[in-house]
Amino acid sequence: MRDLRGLLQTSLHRHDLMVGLIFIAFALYFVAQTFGVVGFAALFTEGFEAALLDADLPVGTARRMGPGFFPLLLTGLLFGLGVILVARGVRATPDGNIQPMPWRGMLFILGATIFFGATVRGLGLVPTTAIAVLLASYASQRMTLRLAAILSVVLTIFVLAVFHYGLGLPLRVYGPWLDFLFGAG
Amino acid sequence: MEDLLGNLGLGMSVALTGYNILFCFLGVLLGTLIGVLPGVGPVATIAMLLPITVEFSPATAMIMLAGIYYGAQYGGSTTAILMNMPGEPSSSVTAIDGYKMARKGRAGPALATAALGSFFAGTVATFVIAVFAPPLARYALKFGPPEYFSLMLLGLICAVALAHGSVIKALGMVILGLLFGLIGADLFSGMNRFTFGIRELSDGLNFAAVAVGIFGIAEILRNLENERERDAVITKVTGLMPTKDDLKRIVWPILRGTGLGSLLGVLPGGGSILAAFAAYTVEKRISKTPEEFGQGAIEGVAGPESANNAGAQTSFIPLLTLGVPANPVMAVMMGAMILQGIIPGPAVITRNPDLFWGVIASMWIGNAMLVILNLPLIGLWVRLLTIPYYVLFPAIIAFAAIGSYSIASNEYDLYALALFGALGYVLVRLGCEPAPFLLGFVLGPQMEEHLRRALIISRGDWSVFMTRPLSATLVAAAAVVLLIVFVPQVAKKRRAVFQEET
Repeated sequence: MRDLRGLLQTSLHRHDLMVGLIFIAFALYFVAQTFGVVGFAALFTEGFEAALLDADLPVGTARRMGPGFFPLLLTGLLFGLGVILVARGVRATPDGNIQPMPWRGMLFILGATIFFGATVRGLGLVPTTAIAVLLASYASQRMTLRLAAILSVVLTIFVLAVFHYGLGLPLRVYGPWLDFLFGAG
Repeated sequence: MEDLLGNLGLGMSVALTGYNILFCFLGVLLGTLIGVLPGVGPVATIAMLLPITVEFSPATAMIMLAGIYYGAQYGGSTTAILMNMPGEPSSSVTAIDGYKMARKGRAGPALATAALGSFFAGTVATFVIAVFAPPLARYALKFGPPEYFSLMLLGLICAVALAHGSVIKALGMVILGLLFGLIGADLFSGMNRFTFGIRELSDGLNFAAVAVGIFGIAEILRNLENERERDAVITKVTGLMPTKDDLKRIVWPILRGTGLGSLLGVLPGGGSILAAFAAYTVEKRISKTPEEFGQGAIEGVAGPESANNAGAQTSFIPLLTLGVPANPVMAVMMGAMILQGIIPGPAVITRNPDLFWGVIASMWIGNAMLVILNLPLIGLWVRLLTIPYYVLFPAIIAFAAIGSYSIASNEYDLYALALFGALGYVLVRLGCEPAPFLLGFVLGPQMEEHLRRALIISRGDWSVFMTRPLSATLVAAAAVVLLIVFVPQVAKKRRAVFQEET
């Protein structure tokens, strides 16, 4: 685990190389999606022209473009740029800032967001907001339990007042998962 | 001329209804707030508030969102002057001399200069839009698909040229944005593209979630890298009024800044940031005492502040007349218009004159409100600066989450928010700019549509982009811009300029 983190940390200092790899990865992903499994395999075994016929998203011709045409054009460009960046990055010396990765921040902030998405329908606006704010607060190293609790209460009341009562967003205050506590309603 | 007055009259009648005044005020108030608070930008804020404005009429929604934008420009200069911490990228130039002035006990005149310059620039820019937008829109009505495709190409290339750092990375970000913009059902065939088989994604990725993720969440993560105390805050502001000598010194810089800003704001890609830099450079070059610049020269506040406000306003021109956003904020505005069922473009002016002229008139009213909000209430804003960041960001997360969810009541939008927050953070950290990505994202579907239409008309002949004169001009301009950024001398100079900024 420590090795993995160390590797990530050092690779962050090779900007061009990393960005190049990210671009190539996205290009490959979009190409694979355009061609589908069969078409993508055919790309390597039968060549580009033949693979076009097997593509999941029809590519078509310039005159009658299919849904795959523009994406394929873009991924080609993206792949090319990725290759240039990788070539440049391999030769370059490590660069960039030595800031540590905010692992804690990423864990709690992204966690709070995903938690909100996963539970807002089931738990409802109030419990989800309260817990998500608690979670998000802990992204900061300076947070204390007391402050997090205060923030959570204040923000939940504010959100309830503005979004539920003020703007009337169609969100249940308590969701169906809590019906056993409050009764269906 | 009579036309102009009549149109502005119509605009005033829209902007001066009680409801619109209220939301214009709320917009500029909120804008000043986020401009003052470092770490919350206008792109993320406007995107978070999109779901709320869906309930409003289109004119009210646009008036409020526009208010946030120029309010943020204003507020950003306050932090730049008092804390040496530009709340907005475009105020980073103001910080150079503004903070020095504040350190010398002249924070008051610096703030007053910024406010007066911005107000004057805002007034002029409002007229510039009113005069130049209608003929441009009329001209743009003649555009066919090839012209639109070439225009968008030029816009994106300019955004690349004006992005920080590596051109190749910025190009890649545009393309990545375009690709993500294509996710969802294809307009022509109805086939789902790149949706992972998730039915909720067939309408495409939620624009607000992507914008908030890449501009809001990523920014929070960046601020959490290193939680340090802020620079010394100058909390006492006394003697707001500039002296007679000050006033004499700022008249010309304000005029020049307004002119430069109005002109450069229209350009895609840079807008107000570019305008502020250009104004600073010009003032320094023609000043009789260039050595004062960087030591608290009042011209170094007056010029850039006028320029960035003028630029912020005129950057509405390409969006309202051509349907092409000049910068990420305009991309979000475009998202807001689409959400309201209005397709930005030359037809807006004839089909929704109340919206078009109402927004323009509200800009002037909003600018007047800002002077009142900012100068007498400066003490209040200064006190806001003492709110610690770790209290702010949980609130931002809560609003971002609810805002993204409520547009479509779709939990996948929250996962997109987290995903684009992480992706945005990593890419920014690796030296990629998020702005080209967002422009690509919002233009992706339209660019494809125009490309396909253009080639249907030409029966698959690619030369259509070069044989129609206007389209050829636009493509040539794009090619020239792209060539220029790769010329070694320009590339070097470009690096130097952006170095100075950071």
